[in-house]
Amino acid sequence: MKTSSYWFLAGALLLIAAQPSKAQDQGLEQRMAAVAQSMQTEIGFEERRHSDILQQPAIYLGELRYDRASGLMTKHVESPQRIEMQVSEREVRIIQEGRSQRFSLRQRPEMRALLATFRALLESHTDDLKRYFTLSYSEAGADLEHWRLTLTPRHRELARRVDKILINGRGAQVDAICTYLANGDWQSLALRHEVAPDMIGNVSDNVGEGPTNHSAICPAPEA
Amino acid sequence: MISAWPRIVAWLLLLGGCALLLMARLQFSYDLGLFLPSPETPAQKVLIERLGTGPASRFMFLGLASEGSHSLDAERVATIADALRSSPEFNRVLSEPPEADLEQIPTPVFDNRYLLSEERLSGQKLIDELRLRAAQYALFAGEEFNYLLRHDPTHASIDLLSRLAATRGSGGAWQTPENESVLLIETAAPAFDVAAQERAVAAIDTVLASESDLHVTLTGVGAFSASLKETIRSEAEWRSLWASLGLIAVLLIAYRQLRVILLAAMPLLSGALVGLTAVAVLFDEVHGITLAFGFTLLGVAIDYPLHLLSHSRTQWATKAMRGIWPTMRLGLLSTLLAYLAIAFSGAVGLAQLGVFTAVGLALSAAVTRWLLPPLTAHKRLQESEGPAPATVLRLTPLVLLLTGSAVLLLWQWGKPVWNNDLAALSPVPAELLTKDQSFRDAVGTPEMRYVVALSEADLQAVLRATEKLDQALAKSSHSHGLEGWQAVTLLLPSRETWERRRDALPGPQTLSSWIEEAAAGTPFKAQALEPFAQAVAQSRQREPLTLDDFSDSPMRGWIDNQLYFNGQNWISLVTLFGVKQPAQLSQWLSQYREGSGGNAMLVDFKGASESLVADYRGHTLKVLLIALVLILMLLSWRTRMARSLWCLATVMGSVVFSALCLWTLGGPLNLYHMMALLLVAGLGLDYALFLSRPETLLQGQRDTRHALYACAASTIVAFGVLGLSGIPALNALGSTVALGSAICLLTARLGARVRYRTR
Repeated sequence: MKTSSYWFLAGALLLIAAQPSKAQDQGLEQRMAAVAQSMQTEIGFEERRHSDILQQPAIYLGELRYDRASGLMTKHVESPQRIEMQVSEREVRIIQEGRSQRFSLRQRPEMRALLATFRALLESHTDDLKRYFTLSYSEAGADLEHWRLTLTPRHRELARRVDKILINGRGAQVDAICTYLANGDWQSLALRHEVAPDMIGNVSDNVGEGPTNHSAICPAPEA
Repeated sequence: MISAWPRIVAWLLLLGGCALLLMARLQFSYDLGLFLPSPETPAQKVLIERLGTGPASRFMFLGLASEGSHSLDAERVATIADALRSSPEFNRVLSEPPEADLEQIPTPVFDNRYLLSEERLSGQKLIDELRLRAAQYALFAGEEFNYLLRHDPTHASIDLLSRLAATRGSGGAWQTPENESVLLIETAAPAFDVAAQERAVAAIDTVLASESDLHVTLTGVGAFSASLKETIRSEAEWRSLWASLGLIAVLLIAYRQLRVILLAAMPLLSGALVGLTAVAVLFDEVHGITLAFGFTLLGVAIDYPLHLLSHSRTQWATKAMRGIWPTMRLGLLSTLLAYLAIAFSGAVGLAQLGVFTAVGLALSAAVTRWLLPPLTAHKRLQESEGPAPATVLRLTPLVLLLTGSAVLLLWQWGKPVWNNDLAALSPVPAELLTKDQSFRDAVGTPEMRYVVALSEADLQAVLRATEKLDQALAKSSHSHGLEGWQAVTLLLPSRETWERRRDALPGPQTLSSWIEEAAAGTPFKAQALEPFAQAVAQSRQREPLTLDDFSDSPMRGWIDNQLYFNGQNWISLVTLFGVKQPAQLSQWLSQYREGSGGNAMLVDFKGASESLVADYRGHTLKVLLIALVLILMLLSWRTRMARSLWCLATVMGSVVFSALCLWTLGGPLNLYHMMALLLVAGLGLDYALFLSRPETLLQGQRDTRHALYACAASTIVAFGVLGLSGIPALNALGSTVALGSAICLLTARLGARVRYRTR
């Protein structure tokens, strides 16, 4: 199984969630700087996945973590079943029911490129991002508080898997990341900014709170 | 001179004919099995049949270390691996355990995924697996996940692929305890295709050319043979050149004429050419070693023209030849007896060696006898200086030799005399072999030394026996201490097993209800699993896989490694991983045999090869003993008994003493020493026969001694140069022959005392 090809998506989302990109556009530059300032390294999420293999959208609740010192990114899923993925520079580790499974990142050049891009982003080297995606940024609303960053893959290898990625935000915060896959599947990942710092690590207390209207944030793909 | 022309023409025609025949027929082989005797035990049989084709013989290991032995940057290792992957010389280049890749799963394996596993499909199994998939869906998404969920929700194919993996051990890049990064490189060509292995090594060199700061170590069967071919060739060429120059110098000093070089070379080269032709005509392929050892043994032939030249210094060559021919012929016939004995000793390679040397020597002698005399110059003819003093054969030097031998034997008592390790014949430096082992340990490749072999006349029977063993191994994993194993039945189950698994697959109704129930607890649609249901339904119709189903498959090589037909029986080899305690495993196997019958046996390739070398040596020694009796009979038929016995005793004593000296100085003796000692015996017999000749004329006696000193000096110089080589084969050959011929000459010369009478 090309398990690794799934992670690159997950990894990408994780990294986008951790810190959005800067672009040449002045508005985007400023917005991203603001987002970076307010970004938490631990944040709860609610993810909905849409696919024709599903009876209804699959809903996952959990927490994203980024450790700046080690560069280790973690996607911790709490519900409906506990499972965790840790992405480091060299490998992906899946931890489920006490067992841990390791996979290498290096045998997937496209994923390596992607992760390198996002890592560069976290270190504020934004040029790498533009190597892999075409960026488009727009602002809306009366006070232009609502914004959207659209990432479109530039290369075929990436485009074989991903159509586009939308990052929706309000002011200095990222609200949702919408990923539209090449096979028609799509998913929305909503971030929950209301998590208090002292409650981090106890995700089950955070899930299910707060108003989230996914369809409002992530539009269903046109048929 | 005129009478010589017909002979010269005949000789040239013979050589020309041989050259033509060789061009048409000569084919070399480097199969070591050809050189080993017929295997006696089942383990030896497996060894001979699988030599050079065993598991992992195509693997090369590339060790990369940085200056301060820090771990190498992962990206850098990956870049090097990527660069190597683009070369057509390699099937695979890995720096870490490979992941099961659905795109690479061969069709027969994927299609039959529900029939190639013991794990039974059940309602509960499906519930558990779908629950796992639902959890994993939180992390993975995309078409690959969807495809696998639809077609193989239990991941039977992934499980199968991981059991087929060539390496064991958990994830992460391979590293030795010394922080060396290890790449596993599988060459496209088999290890014995030395030309292709050389190309592979060149491709690696090209990639690494820009990484000059790295300390690079390349090991593996193919890498060794490629680098050694080059080293040995250049070393042998270089040393042969110096040996030839030394030889020429000795000849020029001894005879002071230029044409002596031509005269000395003619018999040797003619003998080699005709001997080689005889082998090429009698056998399909000529083994490389036949040629190497054959030329060595043919070295006796250089002495023939020297005798003639020494004796023609003061008389006509034709007359001189007539004088020395009886002795030369006696020496030749004795040597032929020994070499023919070797020819009938069992192994094809040895038969070739015997034929080559016997034919070559006979022709060399014939050229010396009939062609050289008319071509030999006469520098100064003079009448001899009267009758020769009598020669007295004494035993004193022999007694000294035997005493010396006894002392050496007692001094070194308990030290092994013979080195049976086939690896001792390998010129690979021991440190590289150690590196190779540490790389193999880091990567977790299959055990090179041990396999379990099962043998049955019938293919289905051997498959059943393999399955039984596989199950027994799985049941008692604690008592045999193995880390893992692979058997051919992983892809090729027996008919019974296939049918049992097939019958156990659920019918459409049952499966459909299982799917409904399992999907209900997950977000997945039951309908999405329709391709899975179809695959199971198709599996219920599938006929057992046969060998033919894999004929075009990339798994063919894997199957050929695990199963083969040796002409009588099907042999199934179970590849082992991590054999920590072979004794424990062997004991477990014997208990298993007692309990359940069958003939599963632990084959120790090293042990089998050692016993093979020992058997082979014992066999050759026995044959030589018979040859010795025949030689004694021949000698005593032509000469006095006392002289025959003295000659043989001198030769045997000298050979034994030489062997003991080498053993004392350099440790256990190997195959090369033995071949060299055979040559020493041939040379020594000539020395003894000539020195013990009842000479009538004083000049004749002087000429004989002159000839012998020239012979011995040329041998010692030529082989001494080879003996200084660092390559084990050349070193053993050269030092043994140089030392042995010196001891032979000394013993014979001191034993054949001339009693001068005052007139």
